[in-house]
Amino acid sequence: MALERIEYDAGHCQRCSTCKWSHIWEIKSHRFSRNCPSLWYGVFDAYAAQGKNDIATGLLKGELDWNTSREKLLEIIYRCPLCAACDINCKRIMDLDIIGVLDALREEACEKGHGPLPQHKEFIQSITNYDNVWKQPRTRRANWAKKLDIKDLSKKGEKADVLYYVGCTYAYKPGMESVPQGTARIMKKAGVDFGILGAKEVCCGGIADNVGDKKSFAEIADKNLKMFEEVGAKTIVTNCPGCFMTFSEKYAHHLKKDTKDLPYVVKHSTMYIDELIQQGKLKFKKNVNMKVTYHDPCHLGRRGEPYKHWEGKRVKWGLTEPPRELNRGVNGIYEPPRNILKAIPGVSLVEMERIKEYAWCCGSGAGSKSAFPDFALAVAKERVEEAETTGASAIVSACPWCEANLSDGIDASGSKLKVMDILDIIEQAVEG
Amino acid sequence: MAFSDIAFRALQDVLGEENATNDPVVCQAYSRVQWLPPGVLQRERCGLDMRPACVVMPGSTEEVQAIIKLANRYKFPFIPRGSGFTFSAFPTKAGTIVIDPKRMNRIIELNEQDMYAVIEPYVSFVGLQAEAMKVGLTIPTPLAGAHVSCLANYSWHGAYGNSWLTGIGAQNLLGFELVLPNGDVVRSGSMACPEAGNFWNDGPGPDLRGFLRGGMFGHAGGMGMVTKISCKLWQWPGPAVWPTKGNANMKTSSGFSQDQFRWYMIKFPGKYPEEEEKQLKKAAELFYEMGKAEIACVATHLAKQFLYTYSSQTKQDLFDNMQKNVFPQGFVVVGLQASTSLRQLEYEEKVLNELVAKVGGIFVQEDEPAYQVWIGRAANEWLRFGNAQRLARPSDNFSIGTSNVDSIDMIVFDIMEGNKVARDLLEGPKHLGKDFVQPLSVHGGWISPQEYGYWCLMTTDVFPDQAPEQAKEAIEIIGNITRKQIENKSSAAVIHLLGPAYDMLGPMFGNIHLIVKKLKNEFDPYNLSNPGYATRPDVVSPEELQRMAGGH
Amino acid sequence: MGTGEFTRESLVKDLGGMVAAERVFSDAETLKKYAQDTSRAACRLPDVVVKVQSTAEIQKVVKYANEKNIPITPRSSAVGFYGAGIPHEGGIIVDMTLMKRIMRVDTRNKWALIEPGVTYGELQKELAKHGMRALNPLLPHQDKSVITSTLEREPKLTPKHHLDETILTMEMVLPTGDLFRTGAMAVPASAPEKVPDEVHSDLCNSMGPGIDWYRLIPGSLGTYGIVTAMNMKIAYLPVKQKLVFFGFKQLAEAIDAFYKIERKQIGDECFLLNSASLAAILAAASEDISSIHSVLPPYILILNITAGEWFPEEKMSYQLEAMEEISRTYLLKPMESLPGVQEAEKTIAERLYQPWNNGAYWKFRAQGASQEIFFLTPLRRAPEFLSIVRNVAGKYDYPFNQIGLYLQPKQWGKAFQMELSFPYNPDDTRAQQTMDKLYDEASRKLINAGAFFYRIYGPWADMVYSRTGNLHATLKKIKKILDPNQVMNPGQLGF
Repeated sequence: MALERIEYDAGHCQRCSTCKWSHIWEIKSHRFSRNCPSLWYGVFDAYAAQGKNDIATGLLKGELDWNTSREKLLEIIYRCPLCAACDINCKRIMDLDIIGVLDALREEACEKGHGPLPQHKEFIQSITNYDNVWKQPRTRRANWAKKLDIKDLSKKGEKADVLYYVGCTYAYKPGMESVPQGTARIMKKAGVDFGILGAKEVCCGGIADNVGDKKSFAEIADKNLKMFEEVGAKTIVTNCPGCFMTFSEKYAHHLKKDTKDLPYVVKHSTMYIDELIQQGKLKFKKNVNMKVTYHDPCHLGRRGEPYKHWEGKRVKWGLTEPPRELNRGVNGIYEPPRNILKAIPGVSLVEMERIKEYAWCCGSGAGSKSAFPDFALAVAKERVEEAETTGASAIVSACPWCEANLSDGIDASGSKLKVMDILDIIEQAVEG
Repeated sequence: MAFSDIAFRALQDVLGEENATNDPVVCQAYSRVQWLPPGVLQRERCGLDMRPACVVMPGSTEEVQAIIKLANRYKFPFIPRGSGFTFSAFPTKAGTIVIDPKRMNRIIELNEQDMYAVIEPYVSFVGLQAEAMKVGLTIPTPLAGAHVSCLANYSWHGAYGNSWLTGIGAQNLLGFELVLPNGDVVRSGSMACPEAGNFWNDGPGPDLRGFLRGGMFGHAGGMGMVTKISCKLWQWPGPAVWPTKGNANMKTSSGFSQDQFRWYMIKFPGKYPEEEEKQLKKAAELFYEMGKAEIACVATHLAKQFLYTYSSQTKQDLFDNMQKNVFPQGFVVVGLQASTSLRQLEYEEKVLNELVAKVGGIFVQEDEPAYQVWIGRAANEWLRFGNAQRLARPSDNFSIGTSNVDSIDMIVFDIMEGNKVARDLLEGPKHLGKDFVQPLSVHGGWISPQEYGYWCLMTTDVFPDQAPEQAKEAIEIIGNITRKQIENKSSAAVIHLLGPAYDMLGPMFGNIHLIVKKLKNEFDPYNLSNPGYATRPDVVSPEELQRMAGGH
Repeated sequence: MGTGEFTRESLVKDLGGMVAAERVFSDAETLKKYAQDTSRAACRLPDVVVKVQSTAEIQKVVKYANEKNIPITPRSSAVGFYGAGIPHEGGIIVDMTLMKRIMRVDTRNKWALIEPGVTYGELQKELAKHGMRALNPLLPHQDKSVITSTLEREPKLTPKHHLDETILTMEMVLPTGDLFRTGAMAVPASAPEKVPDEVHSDLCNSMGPGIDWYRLIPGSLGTYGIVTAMNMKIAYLPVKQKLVFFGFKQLAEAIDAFYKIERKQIGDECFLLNSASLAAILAAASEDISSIHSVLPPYILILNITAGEWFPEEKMSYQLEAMEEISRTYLLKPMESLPGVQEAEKTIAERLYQPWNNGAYWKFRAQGASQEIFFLTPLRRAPEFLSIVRNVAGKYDYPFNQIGLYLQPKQWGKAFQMELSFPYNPDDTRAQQTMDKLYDEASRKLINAGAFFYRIYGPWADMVYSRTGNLHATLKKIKKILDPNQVMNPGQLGF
């Protein structure tokens, strides 16, 4: 039973409300001091990690049961982007696996046949049917790459140093093809030997894991891992933080390994491009005169740390045996995107109040947008309002889901801000 | 009377459906006290009764009044709360509703010139401090953690890292607006007087803060709900934005200009723990001298458990540091701030040097591990509190062993006595065993002199093993320490008056329990306002007293 | 006469049995003396005056009063200013001026434990032996009880935050006659002065039991009980001090600098007087007041820069430097003395911690009597309130330049007490009538404009409480619980 795994963590909540607010030292105003979008929207404590701890404990002790409270349980469990702000904040003080509690609640919902939600099931079914979440034909997965002359590593005999993994959203969403196209052009310019999986590329499966369908996830992960092995992928570069986190953390967890022990190294495109700049392989020659603010995607930022696998138990004083290294958001991918923006001539980067490991989530992650569009939109609008206080003309991010949702937020609020993917700015700055 | 559907629908009518829920899943989030021994016992005693029948979320004073008036009509108990951190914020009997103030989260006024703010119940210390810092002001830094409700903390009990200067919650509360248990609104201080603004309390006439607050805990939510307060702000010579380095739990903040703040750690020679009393007495001497000289903004003695817990980045880090004996004993920590000028700060530093030499203290040097770990990582917490609940880190279970308020000398005595009682229980004939409590327990105490040493607060800490069955033993230790304090006729006895303790101890204190019961009866005749913690209006029989003596 | 079954003779006899016959007074002259004070409150006679010497005696008297349903008016000062000690319904005056013990002084924990009859002069003399001082208001009357002054919340001359609320613990006789102790004094049954010797407490905890009595009792004018002992904070005498004066033509000109001095926590005592008030203080003889008044700046800010035992020169130096910076910023000219007034700095320095000791009380010197209106305000509103007073005074042809002004910061300037005093000739009936009307109208207008009248005397009760919603009803309910027979100083505070 999934909940038994986190009984200790859920049960030792101190009700200190640390999970609800940004890091004290980083809070710059009362207005933008909150860190948990679920609680901000739902208002009652049940929507916060603290509340979910109590709910998990209640389920374990039989104080709550699925039969009488199914609808509300599902709402509370799933109306949450799993942004892990609560987890990171709590771990400043305690050593409780809060994201583990949230994850276990979803797994429990699936185990008991109540979850995931219909909208999530559609995604998972789509992966089964089409190898992507968007119910799009497999054959069109690499349409973005037409005319770019990129190696297709799924073809026999093709090899490359780097596997460029595009992901479902960048591959299929209209308007987003500029990102993988730009990435490909940039890597070519930098002399990177890379290839793609073309139409054989399969969804990373992250969504299945996020919503608690571990069985489906395992199947998808195994499929991808086999593919990576077949193509000999040693370095995987991806633009999508969801895929990045899936390959880095979730696959490692699936294999019961640390990220560093995976048969490949996975990097988000911003990490890779930052390296290329450091190595002198990429230079910015054109001015891009803009004032921008950067939105940290949760799956790249605070959830972007390498995973350390652990199996063990709690012993005296709440220590773990063997000792467990929890991810605490310290080493998330915060600087590479910023390094890039600061390196681009003409770009003026102004920060929002909530950034890096205490960034405000866009609201769309882990199935939130599909199942709770009002919630996702409200959370995005909150972020847009925060971005406007910086005086920037654009929000730059590095995640298709963030960009889509923030874009919706801008439209809904009538803001004059633009949303841009960092790759679009990079491309503008690189000499053509 | 059980909480009825009619009452629930009436609440929904008044507040809107979205602001009143009786869904058990939602209410579940208001049913568990933090994991500490009294909370564990409370859960055992009350079980599912701790889950409120309903949670309501008013958005205004008028809505709070409406809720309380409905409570009077339909006779359901209610619990006003802030962030819900303290154990008195939870039901103890079925049919109780919880009033969650999240929608009342405005900073209504922040007056830079006259140094006060007017806030609603869900304004946390963090948000208020951020706004205050923008205009060169700050707040006391709460040991309960900066995420708690400032209003609730001041109305109930609050102790602060910088209370050498600021005093405790009682000293920081100005005017307030209170919805009494019958639904009437009363305002105190200048807030009560139209056109006078919100800048002060003291009356008019008798000061109602004395009625609302008291001992440590006042009426513990038993006298209605405070819906607005004005509170003091303090001079802040530091930056508007807090300087930080690094991320998450590895974040440090030590980059203050030396022209604005300076930190010091002072230790006292002697073998620890054998000469602990001697060391604490020297710390006391230093505080007395500093009080006489009126220097510093922070002056406190931190027992080693404070130092370990506040400076450790992870639980493993804490245990590793303990192995390395980074903090072999408690230390005095002093902060100086340039309230007047840099020269004033330099003057105070010079005086501090003399005082430390005079009392035989030794400054911990910058290259010593204790300095690097504490000053580098955690000292600034005492000015901008963030991680108070790290006190739970050693064993994921924490209890205040004892606390007291009296002179600095008495506090030292109390610490030694209290720890001795605890050690006797752990190691004496009853032999609860050294493994029962985390090794950091029962060493030294947190000494917090207030208002330049005119009085002093202290706590000692117990970190029991986290298993539920240990909670009773932990309570026994704490109970024994308290009994000893009462035997010693120490001032601590006064501050423990809460709930059942009123009836047990009241006759010792001029029958205060009868006075407070009359107040309770007058203002809350149906005993609806947090009946589990505030005193109950009826006189308790000797048999029930006996029963209560073994309980909470 | 009270409403119980007794006669004056039986009262005298019974009370004489409780205290001592020679300390019970019912002669006309004595009763008249207690029927009035320096305020304009109506003359109301008590039935009997009892001079008590101990808490036990007070308890007996109060219990008796409850049995017989006779009002009690407690007094611990031999002088009254605001009518609080004048009985509204006759009854017994409990006069505690004989209770003059300074029971204990704790120089380490900085407090003094005293009885109600101790005056500032007596206390300062005793504390000076230890290098310490009581925290006093500006030039209190020599007969003013320290406890009365503290309970009436007279603002301290020092603006330091931690020296504003000075009450630690108290012993009280509740209106029922029961003994009650507050804070750390509540725990043992020992006599207050023996507590630190007999139990583990140094009387340093002001909180509880139950509720915070140290907040509830002040301002209650004896209606909630009689304080019979109090330990209160004291402070060290400075080792060095230097007075600095700033003159201003208009009050508004002083505001910013005053705020800044307090914000920067420069010096110790810092207060503003207008020329009328300061002249009354500085004049060696009453006849000199007028000439001194004419040479003083209209408004004078007085700052006392002090230092203790540690490097006093350095401490003085940095404070003076900070003060000079403020002077430059606000284009002020600090003065070490007052031109035209010989040794003004010496006169003030000598008197800072002392009661008035130069004949007629300084507030009365100008014309023989004075009425005061005082309230709390943020400093920035002081000119606005002064303007209101000026207009009202003008309406009654009361010369503005005769009005005394005293502005006292509290807690480093978080609030200021603004005190206006109106000297008048007590033998002039017309002047008295004018004073009554002026006082009434000025008080009303100030209250309506938002002056925070926090110390409630006489007619202010109705003016203030009629505007404060449920506050008075709440205070009355508390009163009823503490004083079920309504014997304690009825009529005060609108009770």
